[in-house]
Amino acid sequence: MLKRKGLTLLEVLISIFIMGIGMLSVLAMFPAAADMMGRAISNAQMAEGLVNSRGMYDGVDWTSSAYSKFITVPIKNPNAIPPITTGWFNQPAGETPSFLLLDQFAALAAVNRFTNLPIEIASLDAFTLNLIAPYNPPKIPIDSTSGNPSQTEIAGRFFTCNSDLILNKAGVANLDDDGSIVLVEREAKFTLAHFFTRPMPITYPNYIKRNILVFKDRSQVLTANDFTYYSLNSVISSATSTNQFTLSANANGALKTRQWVMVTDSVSNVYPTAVDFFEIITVDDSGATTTIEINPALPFGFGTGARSIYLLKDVARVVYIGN
Amino acid sequence: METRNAIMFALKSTQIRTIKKAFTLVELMVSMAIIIFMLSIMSQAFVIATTCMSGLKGVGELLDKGRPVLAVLQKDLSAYHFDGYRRLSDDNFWDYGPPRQGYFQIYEGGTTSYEGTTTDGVNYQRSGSAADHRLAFTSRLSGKNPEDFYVTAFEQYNPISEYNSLTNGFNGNATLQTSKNSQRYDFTPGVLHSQWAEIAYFTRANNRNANGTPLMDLYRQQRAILPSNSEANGLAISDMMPVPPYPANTSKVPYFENFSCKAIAGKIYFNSPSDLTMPNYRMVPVPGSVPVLNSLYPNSDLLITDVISFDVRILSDSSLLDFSLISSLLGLKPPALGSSTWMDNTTNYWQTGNSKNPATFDTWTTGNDGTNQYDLGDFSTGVWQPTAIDASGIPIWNYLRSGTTYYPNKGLRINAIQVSIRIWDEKSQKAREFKIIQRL
Repeated sequence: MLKRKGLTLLEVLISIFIMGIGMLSVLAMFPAAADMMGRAISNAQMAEGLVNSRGMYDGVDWTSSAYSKFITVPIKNPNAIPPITTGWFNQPAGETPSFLLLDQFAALAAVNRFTNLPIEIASLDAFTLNLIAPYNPPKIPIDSTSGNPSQTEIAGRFFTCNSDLILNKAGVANLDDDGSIVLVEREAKFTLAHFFTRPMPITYPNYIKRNILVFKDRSQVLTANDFTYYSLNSVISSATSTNQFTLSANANGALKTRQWVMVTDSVSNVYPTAVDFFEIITVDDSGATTTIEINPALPFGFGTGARSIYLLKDVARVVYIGN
Repeated sequence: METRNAIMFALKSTQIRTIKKAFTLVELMVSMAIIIFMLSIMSQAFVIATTCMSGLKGVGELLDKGRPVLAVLQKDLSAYHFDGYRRLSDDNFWDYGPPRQGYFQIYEGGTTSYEGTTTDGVNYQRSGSAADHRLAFTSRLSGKNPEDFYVTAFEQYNPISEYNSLTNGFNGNATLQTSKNSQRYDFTPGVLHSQWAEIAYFTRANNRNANGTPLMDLYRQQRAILPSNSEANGLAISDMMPVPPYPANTSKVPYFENFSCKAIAGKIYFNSPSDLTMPNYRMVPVPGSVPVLNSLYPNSDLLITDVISFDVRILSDSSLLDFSLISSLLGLKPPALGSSTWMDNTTNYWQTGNSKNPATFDTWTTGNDGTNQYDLGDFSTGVWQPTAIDASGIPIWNYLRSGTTYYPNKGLRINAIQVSIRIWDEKSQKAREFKIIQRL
């Protein structure tokens, strides 16, 4: 009687190994899918926070004189209103646009978080109409009347996503799943900031460009100079619409795709006349300098030409919400 | 010899094959042990991945449930609500008295469960029952595109001939068309386009619970408004409505449940935006300590089920840095208004005694519905103020009143509204809160 040849242990092990790789590949799809689903949920939360932030802004309307007791976007030189025909590029000497960054730290402490851009933020205290000194970014003036919210509360109310409440399985915020009383908590994944630009010329006092910056997992440790400054290798002409910049040095991996940057037309310690926000599409660190591609392209007529960029740490998205 | 050799070779070959071993028991056990070990690792990973996916799926489903509701709600809230371009957030909103057209009402029923404050000072709460919070208002869209109109169809009623006569009365005779802009879209019999609508958001208990927390359903009802109702209401009853008796449910207005109207003396009266400033014309009348919701059932749209909380708060001048309940603004409470129960229930935001609920914010009226004498207002000083001689008049928001004397004050400005909707998903046993903040 003839007996058939069997498989060796080695053959079986190889088979198991191959099967294992196959199964791992299949299983690998689960975390990938979960990651994609998580991103979708995260994006939905971000969108909700953005919409509500805008609603909150519109409701409070910091830029309105009716609410000047809280804060106003500054007018650097309100008496020097040039003719309409003066235009962006021919502003009279001494007049500059105004920029204002308001985030939860603006309510808590006055710290400038833009490296090498010390005078970009100035604010009028609407109570006293005194110009807050240059080099000192604004701290949101608070009406300290009894019963009014504290600065911490303002930071939480206006600059965080308020809908990320943690709920138990019964949909209650102050109880855990076992019914024990717990403190009300939020995920606090997203925080928000408003960036206002009053461009040149200051002919229309109510014209203010508004951007909302959405931070994801932003460090809550208050530090100066959150946003790293890089100068460009050469000035990108204001008459050129471009989406590619070369830094004057190699960023050594600090810049990554999908990060957001703020582009200005000034060098270090010089007041900018134009500021805008872009997302990094590609990064090339291979040479002596770093070259990045941004989206959208630099708009035609961007100030006096792009000269530097700021890497916006932890910023997940910047949205222009109109004038 | 050759044959012998061949046979021997064959036998030898067979012997060689038979000598070769198959699996031993040890080999099989080792292999099985390895397979089981790998499978156990994979199964754990599979369980973790499945649990994670299930959780994310639950959150995703909650987002899918909530997002369309927020979109509809935001569109309704962001629209104009009154005549012209008036908004509740206007600094001078009350300088000209109550709106001449339209209304905005926030109703606060039962108690609200305060849940706590986060470390950065944000307060959270949830409405306790179905009757807690309700929104009712007029909405006016602007624009000339089809999506800038509320589309309303007549409810069909037997006999069909009456229905045809009715719809022809609208479309064929062109008597009830809403505006020139909307006429271009009124090409389907029985379907009307209007930029005005009366809208209400309210909840009803659905007798379910989320691990002990009562659940509700959130409804939306929309009724189209005819901007000009004079021609509509002037038509003979035989042209416009079926012969009585009406259906058994007399709270329904035959044919016209999708329209803002009411039965007056056996006829159907189509409300204009001006009429709706007066509470008795609305689909949600103000008087009464308990909201009249029965009339909202017909043709109400079920927006979302398994709602834990529907919470409405406002951002007012008096508390600009946080949203407040209407009932929490009692610091603005005018003096007591006397002993009239009706009056107390229809004041702007509080009830007799110390009870803070129900509380209602309403934009009120300068109209007179023929039955109730509303405050007509007085412009003699150049700035509108309530008429002092009207002893039974409804006090206007934040106009201080002592006896029959009014002290004009700056009215309450509502800068923004925050609606929080907490939804529960049974499958994943998860809940999520959605918020919408909209400038009014």
